[in-house]
Amino acid sequence: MTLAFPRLTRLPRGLTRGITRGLLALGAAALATAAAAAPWTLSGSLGTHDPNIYKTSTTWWIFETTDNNGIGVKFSNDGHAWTQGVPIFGSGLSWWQQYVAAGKPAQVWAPGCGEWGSMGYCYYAVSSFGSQKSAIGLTTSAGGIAAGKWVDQGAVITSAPGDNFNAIDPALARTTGGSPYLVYGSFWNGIFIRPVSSTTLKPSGTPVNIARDTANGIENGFVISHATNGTTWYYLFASKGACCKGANSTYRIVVGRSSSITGPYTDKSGVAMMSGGGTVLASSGSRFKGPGGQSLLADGSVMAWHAYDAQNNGAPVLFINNVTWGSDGWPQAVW
Amino acid sequence: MSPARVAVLAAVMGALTGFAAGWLAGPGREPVTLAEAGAARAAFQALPGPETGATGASAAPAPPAARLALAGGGPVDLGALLRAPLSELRSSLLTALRHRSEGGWLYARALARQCSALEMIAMREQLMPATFQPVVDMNQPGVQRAQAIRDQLSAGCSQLQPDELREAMNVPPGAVDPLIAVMDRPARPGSAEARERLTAILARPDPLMLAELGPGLLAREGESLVFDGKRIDGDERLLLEGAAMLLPCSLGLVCDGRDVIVWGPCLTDGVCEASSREEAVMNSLQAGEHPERRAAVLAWVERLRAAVVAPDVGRFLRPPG
Repeated sequence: MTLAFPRLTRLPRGLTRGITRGLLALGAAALATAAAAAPWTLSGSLGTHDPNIYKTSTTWWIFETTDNNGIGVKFSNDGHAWTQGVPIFGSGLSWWQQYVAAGKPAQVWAPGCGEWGSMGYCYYAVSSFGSQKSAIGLTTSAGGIAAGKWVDQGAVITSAPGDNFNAIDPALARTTGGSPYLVYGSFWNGIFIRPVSSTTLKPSGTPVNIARDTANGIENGFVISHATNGTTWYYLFASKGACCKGANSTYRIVVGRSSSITGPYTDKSGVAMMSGGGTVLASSGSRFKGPGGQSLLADGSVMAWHAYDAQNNGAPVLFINNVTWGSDGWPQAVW
Repeated sequence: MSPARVAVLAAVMGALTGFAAGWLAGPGREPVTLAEAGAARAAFQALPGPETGATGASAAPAPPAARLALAGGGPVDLGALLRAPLSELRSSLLTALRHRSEGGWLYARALARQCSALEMIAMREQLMPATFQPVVDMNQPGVQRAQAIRDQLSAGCSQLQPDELREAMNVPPGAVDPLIAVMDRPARPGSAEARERLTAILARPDPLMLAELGPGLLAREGESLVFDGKRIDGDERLLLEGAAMLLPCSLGLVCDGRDVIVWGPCLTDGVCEASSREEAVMNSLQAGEHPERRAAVLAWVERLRAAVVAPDVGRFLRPPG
């Protein structure tokens, strides 16, 4: 995701919100240029930040960051034409107040949503800019995402000043055996992974630090398993650099892999992701800057991310593309 | 104790806390037999009128927080709603929601979370192949007890409409519930606001609220907890966290075998040895093998309880500087 400390300023987030709303108002026509530049041709509501892509039997979903309460939702029949949905908890929740400045709306960041069995779930972060006082919340929907019966399950991981991590950027991962893990973290030592209960989806074990980059920062971890030529690896996708600075953002998408979900992860050159490693899959282009906030379908076939449009005041825009896997078992660049 | 051991215990405590945070407030429970809880009960017995559980089971003396006056003059006993038969869960929940301005929303949410927990258990059973399901011996008393709870909860929750479940569980900002309002009040650690929040919590030490706060009642300083002006680290911190989970039991929250901390792990993981929250917490702290650890936890419970009952806000605050 996200609103990273301490390199970023508050300004781009406010800018992001205003521009995103503007894009929504303008609709598909105004986004034709952005869509043309995207790996997939997209239309409709394309303003987004930290898009979490998920596909159910008949519907594609994008869950996204908002800074005006709620978990943002888009949906599509084909993955190309996107409609903005009603945010989950658009009126906010009482406990979020503990993690935002007094009198301010909650900023709900980088949701990680999907279905676990018959249950829809969304992890998300509530925090404020540059703060380590953060919480990862969980909401579930009996009957799945489309049922829309979202109920608050409260905070599942919190962080406070003095902790060695920041409780943001959650994403559910699972082992090939079906055991669930939660990936999370940002500045303050990077990305962690922690087992969660297969019943409650709440933490059930100790965290392991799996990626760190003291020079650039690393966040928005997303782990999937993928098999190539009969060999299964766990892949950690992440975002490095500065998000949220519009066209000045330096975000880039990187990847590493491991034979174990808890690491150690190394990049294609063999550099450990705990030592700043990460093979770049996408970085700034001439127009669209700072690709990051990525997520993938569970089978690794499709990736979604955002990038900032330098020709449109740095507005963050949705991108989606197929992921091509090389015979060496590494994903190829996505743009 | 090795760091690895501490980490494992921390994970277990975290898991128990997860159960507690999500699924508090079991049905018709009897008080846990904490050795040091007598003084707390004596303190509350001086207050008017014994709490009347709907089941008629022996109930913990009601703390002042759970006994309130209705606007119309009649008493509402929020604690009794947690002890009512599970088959009447919907009625209990709706009653609690009608009294949200008196703290009822917190209680309604706790009731609703039990139904949500059941949905999660059913989801897991649907998801997991049989080989991953826990092997349970139905002859075990703990298993039978947990299954009975599940059956009763299923009956009660099936009457609840989805909108009612959502209304109880999704508490928006500015909620009128005073207990939730004080729990959710923003307060920077060590600030005047933090002191005011703590003062408000101790002014009405509702057992359910204290259960939801758990170790969060205690101030943190880095990796340490703070109590009585001292930093509590490492293994001692784990014992203190365990005590914080038992504190509400000493203040009237019933924590016997019907406590979700007891039956939850039984249904999901086949861990059915404990018959009370006290046993569950003590087992997680290896206190069964080490009586001195059990004594240490109970001593912490008594210190916490004394500070709450006093109430002595200063004992919970970080020392200046």
